[in-house]
Amino acid sequence: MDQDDYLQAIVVGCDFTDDLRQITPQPFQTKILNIPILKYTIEFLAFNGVQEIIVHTGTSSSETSDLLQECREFIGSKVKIIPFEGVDCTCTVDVLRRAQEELLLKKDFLLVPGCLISNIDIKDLVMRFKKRKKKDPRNILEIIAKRSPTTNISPYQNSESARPLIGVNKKTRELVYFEEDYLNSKAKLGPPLSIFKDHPSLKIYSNLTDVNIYICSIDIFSIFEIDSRTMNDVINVALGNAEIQTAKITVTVFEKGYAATVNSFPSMYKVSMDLLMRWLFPIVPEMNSLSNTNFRYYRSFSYREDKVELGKKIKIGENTLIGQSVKIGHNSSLKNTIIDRNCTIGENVKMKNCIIWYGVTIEDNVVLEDCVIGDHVFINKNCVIKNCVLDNDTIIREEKTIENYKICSQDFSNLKLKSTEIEIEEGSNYDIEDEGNYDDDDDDDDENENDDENERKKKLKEFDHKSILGENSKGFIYDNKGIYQRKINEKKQQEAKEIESYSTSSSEEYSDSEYYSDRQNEVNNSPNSNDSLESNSDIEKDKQNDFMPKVFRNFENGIEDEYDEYEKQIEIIFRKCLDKNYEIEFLVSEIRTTGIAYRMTDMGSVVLKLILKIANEHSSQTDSTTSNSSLEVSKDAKINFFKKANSLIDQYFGVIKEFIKESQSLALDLIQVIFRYCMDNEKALSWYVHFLKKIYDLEIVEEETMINWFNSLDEKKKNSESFQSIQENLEKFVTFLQDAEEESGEDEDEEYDEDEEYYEGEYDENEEYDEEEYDEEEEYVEEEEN
Amino acid sequence: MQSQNTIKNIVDEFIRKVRRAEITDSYQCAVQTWKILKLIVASCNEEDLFKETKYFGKMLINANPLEMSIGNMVRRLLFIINKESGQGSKENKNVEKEKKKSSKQETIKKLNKTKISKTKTNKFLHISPPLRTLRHSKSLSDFLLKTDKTKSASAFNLTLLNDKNKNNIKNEIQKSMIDVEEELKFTHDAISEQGIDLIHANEIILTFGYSKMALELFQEVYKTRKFEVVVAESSPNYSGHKMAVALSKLKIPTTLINDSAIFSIMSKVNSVIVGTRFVMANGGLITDIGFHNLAIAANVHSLPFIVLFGNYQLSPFFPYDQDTFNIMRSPDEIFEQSEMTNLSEKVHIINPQFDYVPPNLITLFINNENGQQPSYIYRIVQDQYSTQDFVEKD
Repeated sequence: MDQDDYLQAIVVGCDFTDDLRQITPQPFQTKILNIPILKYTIEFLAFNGVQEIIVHTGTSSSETSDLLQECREFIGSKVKIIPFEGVDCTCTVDVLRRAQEELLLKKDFLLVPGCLISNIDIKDLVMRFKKRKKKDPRNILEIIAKRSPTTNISPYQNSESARPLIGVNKKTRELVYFEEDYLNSKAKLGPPLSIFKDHPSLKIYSNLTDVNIYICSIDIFSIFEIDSRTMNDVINVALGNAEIQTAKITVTVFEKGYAATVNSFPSMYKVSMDLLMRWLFPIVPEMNSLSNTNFRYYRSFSYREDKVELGKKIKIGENTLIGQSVKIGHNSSLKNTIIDRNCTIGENVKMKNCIIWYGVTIEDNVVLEDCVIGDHVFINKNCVIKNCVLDNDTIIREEKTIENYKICSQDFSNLKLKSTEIEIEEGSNYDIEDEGNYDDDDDDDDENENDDENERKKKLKEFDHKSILGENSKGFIYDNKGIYQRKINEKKQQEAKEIESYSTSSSEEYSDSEYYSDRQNEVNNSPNSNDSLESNSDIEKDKQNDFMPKVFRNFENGIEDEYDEYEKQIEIIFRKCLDKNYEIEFLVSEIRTTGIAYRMTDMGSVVLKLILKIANEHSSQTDSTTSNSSLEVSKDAKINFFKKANSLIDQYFGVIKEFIKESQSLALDLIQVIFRYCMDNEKALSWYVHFLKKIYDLEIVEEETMINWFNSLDEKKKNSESFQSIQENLEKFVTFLQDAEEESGEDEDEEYDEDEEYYEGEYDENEEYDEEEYDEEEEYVEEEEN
Repeated sequence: MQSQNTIKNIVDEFIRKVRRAEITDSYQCAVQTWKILKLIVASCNEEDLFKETKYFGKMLINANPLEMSIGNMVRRLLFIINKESGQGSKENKNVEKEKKKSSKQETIKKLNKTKISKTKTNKFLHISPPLRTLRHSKSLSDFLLKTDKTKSASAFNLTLLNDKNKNNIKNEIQKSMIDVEEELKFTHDAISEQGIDLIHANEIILTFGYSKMALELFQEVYKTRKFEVVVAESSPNYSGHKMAVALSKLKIPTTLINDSAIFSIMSKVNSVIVGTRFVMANGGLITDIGFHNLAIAANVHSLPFIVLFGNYQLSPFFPYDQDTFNIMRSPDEIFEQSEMTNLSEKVHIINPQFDYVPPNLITLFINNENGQQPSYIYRIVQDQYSTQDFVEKD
């Protein structure tokens, strides 16, 4: 074979941030339209003329080798498939290095993730890359990017695959600027002006999805640095050394064609639907090209294999796929649903947005919505299961309503847990356990994995499996609420167990409040610690790794989640502006362009919250003498805090006003934000009334609103001590408002003294109080949803 | 002689190419299928010939059942094998009765005589299962079953058939295959020769999309008389653009229009000459999307709607609606991807590849031989294929 045409590809099978591991040990074994995803990837590579495919498996399990054997059979003898274990590799770059050490890579190669589904034709591109490389060996990397497709996965994307900001020289297609995940980065806004000078024909893309396909030259190893982990790191390094011109990176943007990566349950569902809607043509189910299937196409994107037994009056809606020997009872209906072979489905079953794998039995009158159901699952009659993931071999024998859970069939002691477990103890301090407890199990690739036996046992106890799933069921809850409900307060759990009539519905309530106490713990915690910023970001990182993605978008609490993300985004923008002293108008327009703005109405309160947060950080930074663990907060810190907050509010009240407009209901939110913040934060508490006055003075909030709020608050809050401490001032303030008189400034001095005293013994009660407080927030969020 | 394994690999490779849509041209499909079939025939014994052809034929057809030229070629070969082997046996029988003296029959006669001398006549009947079974069996599978059954009984006799005889039948098949290959090769020439009767001087001809046949026909006619061509672009594959460029290179005055303008321009046109993807047994067309519009427009203006086709495009099936022989392509081709169009999840995007044109809209077919009426197409089908090869279901 001509050496020039020889092309290798390396498939990094283990996505290191993958969530699908819960249902399959290997992400690339995940079935999309009943076919393991690796087959799609291999077909894509073979289609593009790759002759040798190295598959990084991370393990040497028999399942994997079976799958590879299957791939070999369908791809033919012209393409070699070589398994590559690379057991300890924890990132893409590690895999490449290891492959290089083992001399697997010979010449140019393609680098793709194992969860890639695409039909892009890159044959020409590879040829051109090789030619260019001959002319100039510095061409070492070509990034293939894709215009964000209509089948936009970005709403579901976890932060790993966020959109990059890319600057490309139009003529040479050379990459001149790269910022991964520009929306969340803390870097300065946008590319430096100098690149516009240097490259007169520059094109900046912000709407690309990086599809993680790279054409690499073998020389790419020269630009790897020790701390590079992802390809993005590598690119950044290469660009950082641009002056030396050691490496040239080119970018090709595809407008047409389909490319997507499956790395979470939502994306798995989304991609499945895209495939049913034939975006991957010519790889469509009825071509039966990837596997030994015999699908036929029926109208409205419905597919069926032979030997399907359908009862009477079955409604088969759009986007359905039914495998061989499936039996469906009378009067059942399905829509947007994929059913693998040999499933038995009873009568009157309603299925919507479900993915059902091999050999599942579903009895009569079951309702399934937004579910992923693994192999050989059994579901008893009359069950209602919504927004759940059921692992292989789960058995549910009772008539239950199960919502928002991920359920494993395995005991936790056998389950591989990812990432560092973050344990919350009653003192509400994060106790991040040491990393480095490597797991000996062969499946594990993640350094952060921590398989402490005790940890698992604890986890086991966390859920009342039996009450949720039923006595005779086989299954263990992995998590509930996907994203929010990961950390469980044990105390709460015990309490919950004590309640006899602990029904499923109450369990949800419990989980809700759980969420808030979690949140509150974070809030409480951050100002206390000196390196609060650092630990926060650590925690955030862990969250990204550890959090299950929300299963589906129409998830009950989807908005809350967005809300959190959105807050983060705004924070980044805000901080940028703060660093650079941008105009207020600029900030407003920046916030508007985040795209979420139109869905979020309470922008003002978010901004206000941020101001308070920043002020708080500012004060704790300047005040070096205060030790973080101690509960005392010096007077200086408090004054600093107030001054900073005050000046920031002065500076940015325009922004708040811009978003609040005249709406008094939004203004009410503002008051609540301040209230909550002050209650959580001892520094702020004393200034509470001042803040109220401030926003009143700035004519953001009307008197009436404030008085109304105060009146409505009264009944609930009177018992709380922290409230009582400010109550006096608050009442004064309210009277002041009621009388609409001037003069409240005189009170200020007095307040100082009072507040300091109260601080001494205040903290302990804070805990209790906060729980109550957060009950209220629950309601508040519900309102918001409405 | 190729081993079975190599053939399997070649077939697999071809199937993969078809499935990846690397070969989309149905002429190329036909040519390559025929090449593979030749290899198959060359590689196997006469007894296995039918079985092997059927086995591989099925695989080839399943690569893409809608790329009917593959199936057409396979069925053509099956027909030839049937005919040749059937003829051979017929001749055997005739030898006894009529004792004809053609050179071929001589040898067969000799063989038979030797056989007969050694065996009884009723046993001899087992030697030629093709003759007996073909007449009485309804389907090929039936036929194959019977061959299997008779095999043991006739094993003794089969050994008596010497290699020469076997090779004779195989040679005949291979000869016929070469004929078909020639026919394939000269399809385009044969059709373009007839163009001179279709186009008169200074006419305006409307065509649709890219068609090599139409292009060559225009080229041929343009040597002798001047005319103009209007090309409809044939969205969403826009092969009409390619056609327009190719025509202008031949210095034929060319106008490119979009598909929606077909009706309005029809009144200025003298006739419609188009290529097609497939011609069906009822005289209808399965072809690129947009043809139905064109055919109806021509019908309304009472213009001749002339369809060019090679015999390899003639499919023995009877279509009746738009859905049966159709495939949906990617929405990507008709739907612009941008951030503004994120709503695509809620929009059903349907992009069918084929259109069914019923036979009553077609004025004339031109194939390798001459012009044909749509109602006569079924005759050509019968000349090319045997019913059992496409009626059977398994």
